[in-house]
Amino acid sequence: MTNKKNNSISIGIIIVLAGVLLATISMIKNSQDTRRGAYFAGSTLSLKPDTVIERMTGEVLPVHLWVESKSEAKVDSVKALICYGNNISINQNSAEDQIEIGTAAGFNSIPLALVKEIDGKKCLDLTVASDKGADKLKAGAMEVAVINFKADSAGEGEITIIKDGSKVSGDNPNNADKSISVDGVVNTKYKVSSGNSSTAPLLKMVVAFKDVRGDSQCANNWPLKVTVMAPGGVTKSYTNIIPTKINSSGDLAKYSVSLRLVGFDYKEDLAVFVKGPKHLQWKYGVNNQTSFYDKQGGKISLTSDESTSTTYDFSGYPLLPGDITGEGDVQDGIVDGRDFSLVKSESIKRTSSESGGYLKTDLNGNCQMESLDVASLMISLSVKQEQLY
Amino acid sequence: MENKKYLKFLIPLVAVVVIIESVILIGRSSANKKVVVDNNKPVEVETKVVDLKLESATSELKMNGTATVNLLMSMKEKKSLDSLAYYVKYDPTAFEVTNLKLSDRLPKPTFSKVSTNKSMIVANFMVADQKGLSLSDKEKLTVMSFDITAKKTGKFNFEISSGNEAKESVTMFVENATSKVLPYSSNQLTINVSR
Repeated sequence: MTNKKNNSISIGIIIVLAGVLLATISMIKNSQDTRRGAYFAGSTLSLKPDTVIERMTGEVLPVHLWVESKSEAKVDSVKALICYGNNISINQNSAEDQIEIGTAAGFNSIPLALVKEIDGKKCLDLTVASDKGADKLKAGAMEVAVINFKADSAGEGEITIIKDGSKVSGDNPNNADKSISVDGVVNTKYKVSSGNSSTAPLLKMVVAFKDVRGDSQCANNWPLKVTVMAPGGVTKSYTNIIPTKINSSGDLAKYSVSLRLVGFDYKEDLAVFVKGPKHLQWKYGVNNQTSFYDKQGGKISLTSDESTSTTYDFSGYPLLPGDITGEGDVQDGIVDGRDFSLVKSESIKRTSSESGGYLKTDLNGNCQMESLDVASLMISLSVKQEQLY
Repeated sequence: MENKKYLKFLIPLVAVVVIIESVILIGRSSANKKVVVDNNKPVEVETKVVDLKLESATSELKMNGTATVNLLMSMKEKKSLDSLAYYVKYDPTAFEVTNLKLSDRLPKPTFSKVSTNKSMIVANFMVADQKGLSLSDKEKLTVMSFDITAKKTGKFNFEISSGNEAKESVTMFVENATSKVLPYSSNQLTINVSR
């Protein structure tokens, strides 16, 4: 009887021990498994502009897809799953035709674009790649593609990147593993208004960014905020206006803008306020303006007719850089010591970007942080203070 | 029988060894996972790194009387600065401000002006030197001085401006390398003007 009892205890102990051993092995294995398939770098996928893109029905609604790789990882392929609302569309039969690939970043494949429906939402599964060698690939922030949605019906909604459905890969010099993790996404919004945009006033203008030369390689697609003001103080703002560069040489790059002022019913005695992505807001009141416009209102006249509309040349009074950062690392519309210190620290680090890239502290758009950027900011502060005080 | 006695001793021994091994192995595998549980996080108290003091030899002036106002800066810690922006608010209807002088210890100002339009005495310094402007602990310097002439009677203040709604005229000190804004304390100088 006692022997039987002892045997049962022994067997019980052995079973418990075996269980403990198995559990231990399993826990250690689990812990090791997490190291498998590790990404060699991280990245963020962004849709730009990240503020509301406003268009009229029938117009093209361009959205810029960007990737920013970390740890200097060179990117050779981006697959982004982008879902959007019902007011905008991509033609299923010729989706590739609505995609412009980011050649400046080295992408050269025909984009693979597939329109599908996920959870009742229309989504674009877009893959853009490069077959270039590692030495030709880019690292850091770069434009992957421009997706030209068509604005079909009035309404508003979001355009979102589905992180789990997106992938980035690149050249890993240390390992065969080419995967780059998608750590974050930045989405955008749209607003489509109905109506005939051709009756709205047309603002055609040429602007310039101070210190940006014609051959600058990192001053492309800088989005503008344009605000128009009518007599009596009625204003309307248009964001994310992408200007077109019109010269590739010379001391000053010039950019043209053609903007239908949808929802703005004024055509005479207007003032135009323009702000660049890292610039202070400048007021323009007359054609060929070359200095600070210190009068109330403005003398800009517009028409709705493309053929009779004047092209206002504001390039003689270039937009002044300086609004780089602010409290909580958020741009605050002014130039001060915070902006100076950030530009200075980046110039000391000699931060640079590939051609076609974007550095918020690169004030002259030459893809390189240097003392010229610091000097440019100091001049901006001095000029702005003279105006204020 | 002997065999079973041996087992009675061996099984508990193996059990103890396995348990100790398990604890060690699991402990090792999670050793690199740093989890900081801070249930007693101290409340961060902002320490003023810079103290600004407006002072004058007198706080009483007669009409058309003059005095010199100094702005003193005292460091509470050793710091290197990238930018120093001083804005002293005053009433231009009460005083005429002249003879603005800036410390030689500071670099050439990026901008300085006595602005009657904005009721402000402004001095901005941007330090281009890589290491910034190094100021030692307890260092005191007269960053600016200016003369005032009383234009009307009453009690009037000179004070350090912390900015308006448009975020202009913000007195600010930005640290080198970190680009952090350093907290400061300041006073208000009141001048009583009588006939």
